[in-house]
Order: sequence, then C-alpha cells, then structure tokens
Amino acid sequence: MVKNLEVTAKEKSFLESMDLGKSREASEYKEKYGCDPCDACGPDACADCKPCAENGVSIGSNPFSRKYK
Amino acid sequence: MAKRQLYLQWDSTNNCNLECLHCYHPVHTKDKDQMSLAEVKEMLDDLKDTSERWSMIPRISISGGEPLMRDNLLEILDYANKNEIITALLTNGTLLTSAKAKAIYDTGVRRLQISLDGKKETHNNIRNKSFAYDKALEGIINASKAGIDVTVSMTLMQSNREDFEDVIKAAIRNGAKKVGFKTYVPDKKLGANDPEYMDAKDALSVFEDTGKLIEKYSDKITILTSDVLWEIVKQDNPAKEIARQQNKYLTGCSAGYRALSVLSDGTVYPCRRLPIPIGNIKEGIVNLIINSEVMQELRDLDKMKKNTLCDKVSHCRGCRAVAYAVTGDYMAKDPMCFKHLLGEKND
Repeated sequence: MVKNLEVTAKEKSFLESMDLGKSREASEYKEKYGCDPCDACGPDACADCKPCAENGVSIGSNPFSRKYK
Repeated sequence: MAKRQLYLQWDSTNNCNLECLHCYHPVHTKDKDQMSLAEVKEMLDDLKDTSERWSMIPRISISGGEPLMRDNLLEILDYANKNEIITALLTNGTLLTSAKAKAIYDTGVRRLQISLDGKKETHNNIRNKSFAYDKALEGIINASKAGIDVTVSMTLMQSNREDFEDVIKAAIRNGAKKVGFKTYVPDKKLGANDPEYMDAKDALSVFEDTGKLIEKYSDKITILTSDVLWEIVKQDNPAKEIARQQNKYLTGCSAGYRALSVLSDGTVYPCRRLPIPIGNIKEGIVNLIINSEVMQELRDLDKMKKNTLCDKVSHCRGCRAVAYAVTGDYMAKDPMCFKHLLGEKND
C-alpha cells in the first residue's frame, strides 16, 4: 500500500519526534553499560534484554531499590 | 542498534465465550461487519510495508473477543509469520486444547498471552464463568508443552489487587515464562467513582508490593514491569536524560506514536483502552498515524508537560486512557500517577 513512495516531510518530522537511537549512539551509554540500548527502553523496560541481564542491570531486581552499576 | 517496533493490536472478533467484568466489549454477538480475510491480509501487508518504510520492526497482537473464535485464525497467523511480522495471541486460554496449541505453534507463533485475574474464585467471578480458571490453566499447560512461551497477564483492580502473588504462583506451577499486570481503566461513565478504580495511593501500594514480589520470585519467573506507571520508579539513565533534553519520545505510553488498535470492523483507536475513533484501517497506517488530529495531539509533549507539570513525559506520559476515563481529557495528568507520593525517593 505504501511501498516505493518517498518518505514525506511530515513522516520525517514524526520519526524525528521519537528517539530512534541516534542520540543514544552518541551518548556514553555503551561505555557505561557495555551494550546498545534495547528497542525502546534503556536497560530496564524490556525483560527480554539479554545484554542487560548479562550485565546484571535489570532482571529480577525491585525497581524501587534498583540502582544502575 | 535495535530498531523500534511498529505495533498493531487487532481485535480479530467480538465473539467470546466469557463475560468479563472489565471487558471493553459491552456485548458479544456475531460480528456483522467483521473484516474479511482479504481485508486482514491487506492490513498485514500495510503493517509490513510501513515498517520497512520507517525502518521499524512489524509486530501484531491478535486479541478479541476471544481470538480462538475467529474464522481463518490459523491462516491469518500463518500469513503474518510468513511476512516476518512478530505475532502474538492474547487469549483467555479456555479454548486452547493441545491440538490447537500445536496448530498455532506450526504457524510460527512463539508468544501467547493468557489472562488470569486472581485465584480461582476471584478469576471465575470476574470472568463470570465457573470453568474459566481451570480451563485457562489447561491452556497455559497446553501452550507451554507445544513450545509457545506463555505470558500470564492480569488486569489489576480493587477486587483482585490482593491476588497477584496467587497469579504468580499459578503461572510458575503451570509453566509460564512471564507474568505481569495492567492496571484497570475505569468505566468512563463512572470515572473515579468506579468501584474497581485504584487511585494514586492504591496504585503506589500495589506497585511497592509488586517490587517485593519481583525480588521473591526472580529465580522462578520473569515478572514484567511493562505497565506504564513503572516508568515513575525506574531511575534515569543516559538515554532517558538525552530524550528528555531533546523533548523526544523514548518509552512509556506509545499512544500517538508507534501503536494503533484496530477493532474487528476496522475502526482504529490510538490504544485499545482509549476509545476514540481516529479512522478505519483501510485509510492506511501512515495516514492514520501522521494525519490524525488526535494522534498529533497525543504527540504534543509540550502540551502534556504543561498539563501534567511532569518532567518525565519523554519516557512515561502516564496512561492516557485512565486520564481520559477519569477526567474526560486524554491530555490530562494520569490520576493514578503516584510520583508525587514518592517524595525525595525518586528525585
């Protein structure tokens, strides 16, 4: 339905209103956590995030007491 | 860099074999205007094409009514999976025989959500059928044995808020991989007077108790922290700080951004819990997301900041559906938000 059409200015503006990762690539994120942030979240919203689990960041800890390393 | 997901929740049918207290559908009659198989395939094509266009990952959750009562369900699942759309079913589990679970697995589906709303008596009262609990547990077992990862999901409200630990235990006993809850959205006619509604104080109590349960059961099951209000207590990290500085959407409620909810007749809402029609899926996903005035307003973070006086709108925004149900304004502060009750704990 939408294939082969150029992405419009409105669409570009919409896509830019979301953090699609570019700013995070430039951040100290990878240096601090040793992995790229997951799809939407940073290290704590995706329970499937294996890099985070392997880094001991998120899984199984109480968010009320959680501190990032 | 992982890509973002473009997400549809599709109510495949209004038909259901239960009569749940918290259901979005007032009646369960045979759909007169249910999308045809051809129309469903067009929707899936659109999801795939739009995802490619925007460099996103296509994902769909198929719900109902009860999706196992939808005609051509297996053919639809097969079509979605062959088009590399991440596909999950949201079901009450009561019709999920071992043969049906195997057939679903064979289409490529590897994720399935089954609802449990409390211990047996609570669940059966909420679901209004005496067989609902036992059959749901059978469904969890059958899906797990077929090789499908089961997430048990609870709608949390006043009448079952004490039962979440029982649900966790049942999920573990029967082989589920994950368990979590979504908070109840009150009836818009009743608003905060809905007897099942939890205010901010109630919500904080529930979330604090759940934090302790996460620690208690973390070696046995993954307890999801996907309800949007968890964002209040998740500490900031560099990604969130940057999104906040740039006034960009990062996480939290996805209404207005990368999700749409499609009813069985093709009517589209920004979220299944926010019943404001913005068009029909036949109008196209790009058009609906980009041009709908409601969707555009939901993306107005400046307005939301002004209304909520909150600095976390880039990665939380509260639940827009609860705000709408209680205040009549989907841009208002989520009245269940307990951030102000945390004091210095979260600053």
